[in-house]
Amino acid sequence: MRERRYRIVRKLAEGGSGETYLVWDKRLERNWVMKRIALGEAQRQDAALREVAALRQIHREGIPVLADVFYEEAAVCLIMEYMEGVSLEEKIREEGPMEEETAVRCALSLAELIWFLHLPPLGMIHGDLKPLNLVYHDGRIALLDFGGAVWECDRAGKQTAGCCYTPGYGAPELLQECGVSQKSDIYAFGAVLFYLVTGEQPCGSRGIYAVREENPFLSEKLQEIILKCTETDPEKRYGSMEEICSQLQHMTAAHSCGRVKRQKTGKDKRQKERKQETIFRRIRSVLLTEGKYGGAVSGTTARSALLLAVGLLSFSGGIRGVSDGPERYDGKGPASDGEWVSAAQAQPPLLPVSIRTKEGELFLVDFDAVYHTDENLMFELPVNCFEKGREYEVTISQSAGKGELLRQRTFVICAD
Amino acid sequence: MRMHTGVYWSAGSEHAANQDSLSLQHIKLRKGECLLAVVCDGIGSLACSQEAGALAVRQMTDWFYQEGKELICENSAKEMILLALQRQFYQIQENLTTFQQTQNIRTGTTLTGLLLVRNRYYLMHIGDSRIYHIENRKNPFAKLHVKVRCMTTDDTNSQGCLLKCLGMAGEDRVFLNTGKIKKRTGFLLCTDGFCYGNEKLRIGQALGPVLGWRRTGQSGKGQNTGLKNGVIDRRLELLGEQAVKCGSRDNMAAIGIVLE
Repeated sequence: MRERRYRIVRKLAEGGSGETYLVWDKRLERNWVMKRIALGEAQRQDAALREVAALRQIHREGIPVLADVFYEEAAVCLIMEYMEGVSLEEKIREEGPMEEETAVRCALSLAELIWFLHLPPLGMIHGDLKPLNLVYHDGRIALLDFGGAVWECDRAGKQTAGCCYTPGYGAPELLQECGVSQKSDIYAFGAVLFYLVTGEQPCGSRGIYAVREENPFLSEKLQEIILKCTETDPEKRYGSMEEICSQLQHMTAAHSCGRVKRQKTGKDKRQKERKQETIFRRIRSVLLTEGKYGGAVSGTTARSALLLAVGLLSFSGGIRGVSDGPERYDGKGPASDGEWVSAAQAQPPLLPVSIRTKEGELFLVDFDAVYHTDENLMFELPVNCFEKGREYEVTISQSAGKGELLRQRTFVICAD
Repeated sequence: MRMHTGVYWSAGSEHAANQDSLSLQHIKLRKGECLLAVVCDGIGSLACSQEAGALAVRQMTDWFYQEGKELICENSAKEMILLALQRQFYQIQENLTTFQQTQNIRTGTTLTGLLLVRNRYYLMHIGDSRIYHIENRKNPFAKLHVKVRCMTTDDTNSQGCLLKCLGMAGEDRVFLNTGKIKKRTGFLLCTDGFCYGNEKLRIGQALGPVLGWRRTGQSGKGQNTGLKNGVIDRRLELLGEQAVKCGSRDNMAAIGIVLE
């Protein structure tokens, strides 16, 4: 390596534009990052030149300083400042989505960097904004990878030459070869902000959706910024990063004063807090045992109803049954057939219902829990609930919450 | 951190009923995935041992969805979670004692549980079921590329008699531990019937290669080694079959977890 000045410490990353290493500068006795871009393809060569040209013009905190450039074995090596921190993608993947306040602070830090690039005399468009190119450290964001950078004055001829399209983060107009613009950076910024608060890639099955549908704790303002940044029509997006910075600054100030109203009324607050506490997505729930004993049901262990996937069963038009999880038969149900004869009982016993997935795994239905499931579920009733020679009408209804009935189906069972 | 799981549950070659019980609860909260895995091995020489195991796994599952989930959501300190686990252990112990008294029987079970929350594991253990930690060795020249380490104590004497269990006298203490977890490592919880013979070698061979896999379906070398649903289940099934070939006749229950 050049005069054997740089010693490779470790490989940091490998991507489409080249390999990145952490190197030790023996002369200055400090770490740098070395980006090695092989010059085999014209596109790579172009990206390397763009990155060099961009970095040599920029001197700002949050953007790495270019310290040296040299050629080595048909590759160009860029020696750049080492930015402390982790990539935003890794951070979100590891720790989950950010709280609104942190996300807004990060977004403001990023928006200021992009605005700085867009402003004259630089007039530069980054062209490849995505969480992988952003480094998070202590609430601040650093911007990397300028291989897709384009200059405003240069756009007429080279719009598409330096265009990097990342699904989810690339603006839709880039697919129509319209070229990168400030508006495409704004789109990517909106997509990054969406990723920060949801932890979901914008190229997922749902695309970029209204974030408050999933997390009502987020403010309407934040949702509005994300949706306006990611409008399909570039004309409907924000006019410049300056507008976004201004909006985010207002939000940051409001957060620090505690003025951002997340809930309007006390009742809403309680409801939303409750929803936030209980929202979880079941990935896998298996309970395998041949034992029937569930233990003494007492205190908080006793369950009586479900929020979602409630199997409401009626027997002879009068007796109600409530699904209480798999094999959660706590002795209040039918110990013998004789207990099930009267439809006019004042306190009808509970009918134990097991819910299974199509693979036969028991589905644990938790009290007051909100589940998201795409699977077809099977309701299982114990055979000893049915008396031979009688007809039973079983109604299964699904409701969202306490009142809204989603669907209902009634079966007639002849117990032979 | 993404988690991939598999389960194996079999009565074994000689038993009609399976006295082992297991519970695997894997959920995604706003802050990431978390998981509770519990295996219990009912003591066959005592009456109603499958009932003791059933009670233990159900009550641990209840705890996870009620108290555990809330503790995780509130970012509780690790000491708080360990205390809650200990409290739940004594609650199960108490319920089991009541059950024995009301039924006028003596019963007992082992209990080995693992709670994974973000980058930390919480372990609770009593009896002779086991938790193995599986990780790739850093030294590429090592004979075996996979390191399999048993994380639990074996509460048996030299004759193989169980010294501690849940139930019975009702005074045994649970072993609790916590530590950090790393990506591309794995855990295997299993009852003694599943780990028979040279089990570490077999576990390393079966689960070691899966550690580097990703859900995306491509490994670094371009091979199609995606960690699709059911991969770990199938590997546990193979391990179970090998245990039978090695002479295991006991009930078997196992839960495999791989961290991506």
